[in-house]
Amino acid sequence: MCGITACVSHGGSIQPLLEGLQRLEYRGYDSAGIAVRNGSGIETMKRVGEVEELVDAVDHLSTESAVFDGPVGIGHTRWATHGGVTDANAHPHVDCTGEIAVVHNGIIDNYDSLKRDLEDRGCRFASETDTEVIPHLIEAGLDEGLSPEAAFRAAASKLSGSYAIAAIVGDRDTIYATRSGSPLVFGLGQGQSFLASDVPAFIQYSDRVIYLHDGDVLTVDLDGYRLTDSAGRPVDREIETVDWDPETATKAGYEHYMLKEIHEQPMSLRETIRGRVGGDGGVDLEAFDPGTFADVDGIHLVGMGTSYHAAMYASTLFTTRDVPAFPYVAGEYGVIKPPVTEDTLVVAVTQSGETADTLDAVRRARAAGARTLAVTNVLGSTITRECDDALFIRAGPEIGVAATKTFSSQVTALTLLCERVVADVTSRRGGDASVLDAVSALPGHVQEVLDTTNAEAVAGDFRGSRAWLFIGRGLGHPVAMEGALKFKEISYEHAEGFAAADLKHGPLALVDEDTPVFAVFTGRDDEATLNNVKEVQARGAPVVAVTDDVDGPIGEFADYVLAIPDTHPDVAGILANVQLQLVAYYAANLMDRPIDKPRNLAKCVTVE
Amino acid sequence: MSAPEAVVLAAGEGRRLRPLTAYQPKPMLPVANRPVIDYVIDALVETGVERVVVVVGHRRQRIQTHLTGRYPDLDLTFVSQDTRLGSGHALQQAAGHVDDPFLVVNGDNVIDADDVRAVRSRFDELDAEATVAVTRSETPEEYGVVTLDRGLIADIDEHPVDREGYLVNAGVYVFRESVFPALERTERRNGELHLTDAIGELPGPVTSVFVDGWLDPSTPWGLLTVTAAVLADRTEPRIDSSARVHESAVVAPGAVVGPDCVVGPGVVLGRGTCLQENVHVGANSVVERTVVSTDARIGAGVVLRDSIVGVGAQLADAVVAASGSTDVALDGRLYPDVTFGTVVADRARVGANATLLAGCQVGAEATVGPGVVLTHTVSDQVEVTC
Repeated sequence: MCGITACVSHGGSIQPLLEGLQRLEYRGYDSAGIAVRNGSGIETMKRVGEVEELVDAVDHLSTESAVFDGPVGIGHTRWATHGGVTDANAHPHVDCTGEIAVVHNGIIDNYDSLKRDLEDRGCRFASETDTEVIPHLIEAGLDEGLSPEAAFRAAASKLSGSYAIAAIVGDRDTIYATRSGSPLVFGLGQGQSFLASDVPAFIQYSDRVIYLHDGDVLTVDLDGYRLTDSAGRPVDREIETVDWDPETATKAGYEHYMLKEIHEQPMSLRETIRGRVGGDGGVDLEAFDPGTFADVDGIHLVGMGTSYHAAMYASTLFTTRDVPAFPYVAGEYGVIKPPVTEDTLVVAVTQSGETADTLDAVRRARAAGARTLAVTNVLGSTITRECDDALFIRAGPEIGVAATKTFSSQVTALTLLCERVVADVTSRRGGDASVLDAVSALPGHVQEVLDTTNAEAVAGDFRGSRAWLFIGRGLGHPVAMEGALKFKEISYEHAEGFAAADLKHGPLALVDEDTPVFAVFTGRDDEATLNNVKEVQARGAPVVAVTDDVDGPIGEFADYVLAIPDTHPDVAGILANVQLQLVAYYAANLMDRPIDKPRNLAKCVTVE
Repeated sequence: MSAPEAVVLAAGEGRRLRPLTAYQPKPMLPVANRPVIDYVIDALVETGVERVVVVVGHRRQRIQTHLTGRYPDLDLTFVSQDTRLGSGHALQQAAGHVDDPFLVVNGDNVIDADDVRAVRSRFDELDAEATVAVTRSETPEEYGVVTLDRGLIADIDEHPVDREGYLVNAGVYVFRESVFPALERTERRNGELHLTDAIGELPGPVTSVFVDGWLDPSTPWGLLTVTAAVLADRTEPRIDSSARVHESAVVAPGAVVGPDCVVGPGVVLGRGTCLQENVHVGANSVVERTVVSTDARIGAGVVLRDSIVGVGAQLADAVVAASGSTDVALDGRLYPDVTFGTVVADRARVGANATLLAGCQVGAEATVGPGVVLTHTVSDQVEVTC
């Protein structure tokens, strides 16, 4: 889990590399490093901490002595997997001679045996990382008389696991790169070229990109580039133009990306819905004509973290409409091995489209013969190539590590998918008009929540609480889970979400007057949830109800109310979640947490 | 002026446009389906401005979220005016964020690129300390009335007692950094610091230029007039490709139908009518010279004339909002004999068969029950059942 960049530029690579690393910090930020090749060989610089530390170190060096720059360079921002957070374990890693430098995102599964072989042959290792085997493997190839490119290919062919790699070898102004299972995108600029884990790293220099496929080997120098497959045959990949701009990744005057993204939800939901709610009461999902899903007899939804909660939400939607559906934590899917048939639809929910666990689940499902469908935010992401079909949530770039607008858009897109599938499976024409009306009103309803919320006051009143508990029933259950997850991620406080019905069966022991309980009411089975509220109140806990029933019995019994507009129970949870996003945000902000970069977390988890 | 920068003043609420501005600031009100501030930014961008500092305050999130989504290529900086203490105080918030000389533009008036060009070239011609755009207004008493002396600004009176001047401040300026110390020296009036008062404190001559692209939607009927003026030359209706308009509906030239709108059978949308985004209009409704904001739901058989419907407002079947000549009080001032229908503010609900008499306003989140004949204004969140 990391971000890599590489740059070849007549004007010097250091500036684009550092800017790129700063834009990739969402992928990891516990240490960063850079290597450039210039007249005196390869120079590296690494620092523990955020990319800013590295930038300061480079600035310092450049003012003190010779300029630290060169036409060819590679960079890395790290999220530690193998080896602790130290300067030595930071990338780039070099071989014994210091003539080969490598950055890597992913995990080399067989690094242990490779490392032993290399050590037997006399290689000295300077770090505890899996990555360091790569420069030593290239070194071994050069020793055998191979050309740099051949040595690079030979090294890559020995690796198993997931990786995106960029390397500088010897005295050539060339970057060698390849990928397998981890993202890597090539950007073609004017007199300069870029490689990165994600487009924002270089979008300000180039919007013409090639998404590398697994096994592709790219060599790029100041004169041009060559793209070949693992066997060295030229491959032709389409140059795509990316239509978003770096300025969309600014905070727009908000204190944090997370708050900006919470406030973007009315706009991003309009994009999710646009053109998809059809005039005849049905849904119109570009790639999926009516009848597409007629043969589906069961659905598995897989995802991790917030995406798993969206999968849970959708499975309840499907199930209540008599389509059998089950949510799975994607990382457990290959462990449990649920049986599938060719009429099983496996829906993979992943914001980035690069989540390693979710990709694994999909590969397993495909191998077992199931039909696969990706629900993702990122065009061209790996999941869109791994799945038979893709439904894009169109939420726009999300920078905050804690997912907000993408959850809302995932659930909304899945709600529309549910209408399509139910219509196909049951051969009914058109969808449930009342649900679709509610979806169409959703962006405005979210705006209403943002306009009128009292979440900041609620967060302030419960400041310093011992634990924060979240309960919900039916569709309220995944919302409670997601509310607790958001809280954990950015506040580091103890927060847990439960099915309201399960409260009495254990978690009630956690409840006292110092544990606010947030109860999500969706408008369905609210009386039962209200009974749970009374149970926790009897134990002295303050209750915050998230409900549209402000003036009725729920508002009367609750100690606090976070109001949501009156809407269909199928979408009420999306509105309730916005209130819980805001509570988590304000609670974390009161504690001065680094909200956009919570400790130990990264936006996009590309390792298992 | 090379590499020009601009400050857009967008912190105000627009009190005379209440209750429409309860949840969104005046710069976000739609004129022909685009927020007022878009006209301002477009005018700046068209003349080569690449960097804009926006002073935000009331409901600032709406402006920040909108502009960064709408203008991804523009270098935007937002600074906050947390207490509204006048236009001069607003500009002070931008101190240190702009390079000499720079444009200053009101974010809540419609202007065009020619206005901006005129101010810039007048400033360059005479190498003045500042340049102020002036224009004519039917209601000069509402603005700073400008007195000129051979093209130079002699005086700007914010509270004119007579109307002899007729030239008013159009809110488009070029300043140098000298405006900031001038603001420091300027006396506050009633606690407010007016930008126009600081002009007298500037250390050099202030030139003026006449502009005619300026429109100020300062009142609800003003919003309709400005919309009509912007759409006056249209010979075709403009209907977004994602809107669904029933084949039997009639959409007049100069009407605008935005994205995701649904217009039912037999509906008539007259000239100057704008349906913003995701607006639904039920069968056989007649909507003339009326602005209907995003997410509003208009039932069947509704009649709306010279009116404004706010964001997410719901009008049930057969609601009638008639237009007529009426006296309206806004922000403590009486406007006699204006031709106007009604305002139904954000997320208000009006029940079936209700009749809203000319000049009535329904506040944000207020409710008017079915069959009510409304003869007076309803405050925000209030329910009227008979």
